[in-house]
Amino acid sequence: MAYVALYRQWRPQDFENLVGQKHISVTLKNAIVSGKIAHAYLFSGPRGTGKTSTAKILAKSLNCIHGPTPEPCNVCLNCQSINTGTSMDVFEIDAASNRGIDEIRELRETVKFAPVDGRYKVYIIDEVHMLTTEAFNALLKTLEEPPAHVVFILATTEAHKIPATIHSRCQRYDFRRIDAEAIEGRLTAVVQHEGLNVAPDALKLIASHADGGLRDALSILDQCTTMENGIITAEKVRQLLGLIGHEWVWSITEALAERDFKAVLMALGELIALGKEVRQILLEVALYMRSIMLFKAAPDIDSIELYGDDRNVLAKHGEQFKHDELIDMIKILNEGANDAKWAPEPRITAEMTLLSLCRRSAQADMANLLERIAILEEKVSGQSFPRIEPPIIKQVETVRPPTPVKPVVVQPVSPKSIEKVEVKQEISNEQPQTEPVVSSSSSSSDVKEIWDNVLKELVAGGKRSVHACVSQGKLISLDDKQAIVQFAAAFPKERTEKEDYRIMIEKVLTQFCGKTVQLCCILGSAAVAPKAAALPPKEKPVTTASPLEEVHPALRQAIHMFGGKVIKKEEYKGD
Amino acid sequence: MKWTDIIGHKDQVTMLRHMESSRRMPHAVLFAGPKGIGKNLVANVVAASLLCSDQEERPCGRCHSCQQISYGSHPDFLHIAPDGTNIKIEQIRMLQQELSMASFSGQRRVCIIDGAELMTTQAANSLLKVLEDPPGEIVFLLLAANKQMLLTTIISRCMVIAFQPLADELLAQDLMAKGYLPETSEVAARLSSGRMGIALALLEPEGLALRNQALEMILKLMDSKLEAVWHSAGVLEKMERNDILEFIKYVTYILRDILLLVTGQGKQWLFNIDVAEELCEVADMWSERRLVTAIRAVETARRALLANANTRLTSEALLIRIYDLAREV
Repeated sequence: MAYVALYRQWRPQDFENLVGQKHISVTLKNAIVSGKIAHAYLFSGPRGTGKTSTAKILAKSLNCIHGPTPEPCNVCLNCQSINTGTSMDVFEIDAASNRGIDEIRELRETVKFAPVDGRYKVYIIDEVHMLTTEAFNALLKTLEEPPAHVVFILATTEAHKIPATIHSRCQRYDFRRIDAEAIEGRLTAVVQHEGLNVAPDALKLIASHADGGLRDALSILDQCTTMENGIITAEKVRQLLGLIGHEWVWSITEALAERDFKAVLMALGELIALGKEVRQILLEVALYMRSIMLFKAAPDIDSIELYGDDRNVLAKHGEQFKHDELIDMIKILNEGANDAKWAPEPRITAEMTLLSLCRRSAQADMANLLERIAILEEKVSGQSFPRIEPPIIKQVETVRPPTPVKPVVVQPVSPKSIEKVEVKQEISNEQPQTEPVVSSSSSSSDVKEIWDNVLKELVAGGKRSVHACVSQGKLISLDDKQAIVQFAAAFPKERTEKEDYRIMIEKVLTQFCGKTVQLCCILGSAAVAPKAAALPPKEKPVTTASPLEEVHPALRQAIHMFGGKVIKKEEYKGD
Repeated sequence: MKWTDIIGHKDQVTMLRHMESSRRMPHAVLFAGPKGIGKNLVANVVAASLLCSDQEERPCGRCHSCQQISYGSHPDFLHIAPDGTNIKIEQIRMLQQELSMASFSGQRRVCIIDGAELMTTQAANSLLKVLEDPPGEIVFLLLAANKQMLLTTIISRCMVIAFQPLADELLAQDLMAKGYLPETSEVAARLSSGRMGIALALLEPEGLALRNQALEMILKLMDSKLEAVWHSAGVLEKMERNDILEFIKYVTYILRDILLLVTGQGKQWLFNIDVAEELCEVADMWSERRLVTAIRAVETARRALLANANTRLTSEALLIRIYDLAREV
């Protein structure tokens, strides 16, 4: 005789043995006793919770020689034939294989005949979610008003796939995931009856790992017993299930607390060499992080099952992490575990995840973040403006006379840039003695020549991408300290301002004019605005007289509060 | 075909042998583990030993049944593999019909479903009933490279035996025992991350061609101009789809190795141990943050390719990204 898996041997044969579905067995029993038997039932719920078993028990209850009874005898001919699947009155239909409209038509043909042995014809339609739409619709009429001797039992794991019209014609029973204790109780009964030698904590581990499915639990138990002749301990179960175990998770956690990437990597490498699944490692670390988080939040909580029962260790690790940190870490770990599912090399995913956990401080720490913002703010207010100050102040002074009537916001583009060139010339005229190269470059044709040379040099040096960006600008002035390049669009300006490009261009410029020059980029039309905003009041009282003076006071206040610059909206001008 | 042909997987083999010899083989077993790890070989040995008629040592390799299996003509040994890209419901229906009849020998039957994760939803669902309560005496052996792709209802009906990659050293030793050179065995073992089937493919002549191509491309991106991007993208465009995915995998390996070098982990965990020198040289150009970004970019590109994005555009975008990242100051 072939070996029959435990979950088939231990299929519940009556309502008493149905584990964890009290709400269903009581209701069904009462329905049988009071004779209120519906013509269509829908059993839904996760795998391994007893849907098909309940359907068979119900069929037996209805057709048992002593019944309809809530306690089928399991010895009479009818019960026996249902148990062996040979009953003429109970049809167990696999809707996943027979899912077309033709099968349902055949079924409708047989419905009208009276039962052979028992009182009812019971149609158990299993995996009913796989029926096609046509098949479902073909079933509707029969399901609503079947002959009096017919009971339909539909069973499925995916109730949401059932059309609403089928739903509303059935009594629906939702099977729950079976809780770990109930599973453990059932396993204990099985173990005793089979004479197996299993440690209680091993049973507990199996029960919690089965995730609410009794069939899964019995499958695992089966596997454990076939593996070993001796006593089955929790350690063996853990090995069989590929679990990592507390010790490893603890050592990884400690390494993470220390931000010791090397130690984490060592642990990962060893675990992989031991044949553990990479994803499982991430999941268990995440589970443990969750336990730490819960323990930190409510140390005396008892009802929630914590991974790693040792509360001393939990307390110790709890001190090493902050709350925000834990939440972020769990998030990263879960993402990593998800990615590892589909990655061609999960190991790399795991390594990256653990690396980002080791480097977490930067993002995780809120206080740290605020501090960094503060530093940044300081830098922004202290550094960027003085760099372009000296020439600008002069420029603004000279610019002021022609512009007083026009508000900055709507100033046209071209006059501004012309002014700028003039301004630059003035500036260089003021200090022509400083550097011969500069003085020679001060005329606009020379400036243009230098610029052309710079661009050529960039191309020759293989910096094509830099050239492509910078060539959109125009060198409009050059003195011994500063080269001002004007751009028509914002993007190339911003890109050029970035450090890498700026340094490159400055280097080339230095090469041509023999002096260290600082690159300053301006935007074609909005050139004046940032400069005006940049004028620090402490330097010169002139600021108050800048073009901004004519700007609306609200705008001025906004600039004062938020900084930034005024950019013209060109389309207004066009209209 | 013998138990001793199987390299590694000691625990799994012990368990299977024990189940077989004590006649406690469950009717449905799921072998889960990455591709090229040896699941198929183990499944075939299990099948042979289940069908073997020898009393002492199964599989004996001499009896009629073993002979038939080695010729692939055993009537009670059913083998289902993807028809095209999927296992279709018709195949499962055929199987059900087959199983509704008595077995040829009157003994038990064995059915291997290779690539079980490639069953269509319909096929998988129609397997459920027969997998739970099969008629007659039969053992189902389901082989799946990706357990997550299976229905939970299928998994819960099977005894799951997980296969893990071998340790690199073990695999390298076995390869050397097969007569390969120590250096090449070491590289193949690392690059295959412990999967025998893949290691053997790598040891073929030209087996490392794609890896070398990937390395060459990355080195080129590091020290030359942007033209390299257009050239390499052109090469990639002409590749087969699977080759590109493989290529991209090697790019990830190489970047990850550089990452380990940059973070100062030494060479012990490198995949590409044979080119460690070259990798060390380019490691200076990279920072940890940029490498992480680059690896993410490769992953994004891989997903795009899997979703049938334009090969040329995707590879160009990826190469430009790597090019830029390598130069960012």
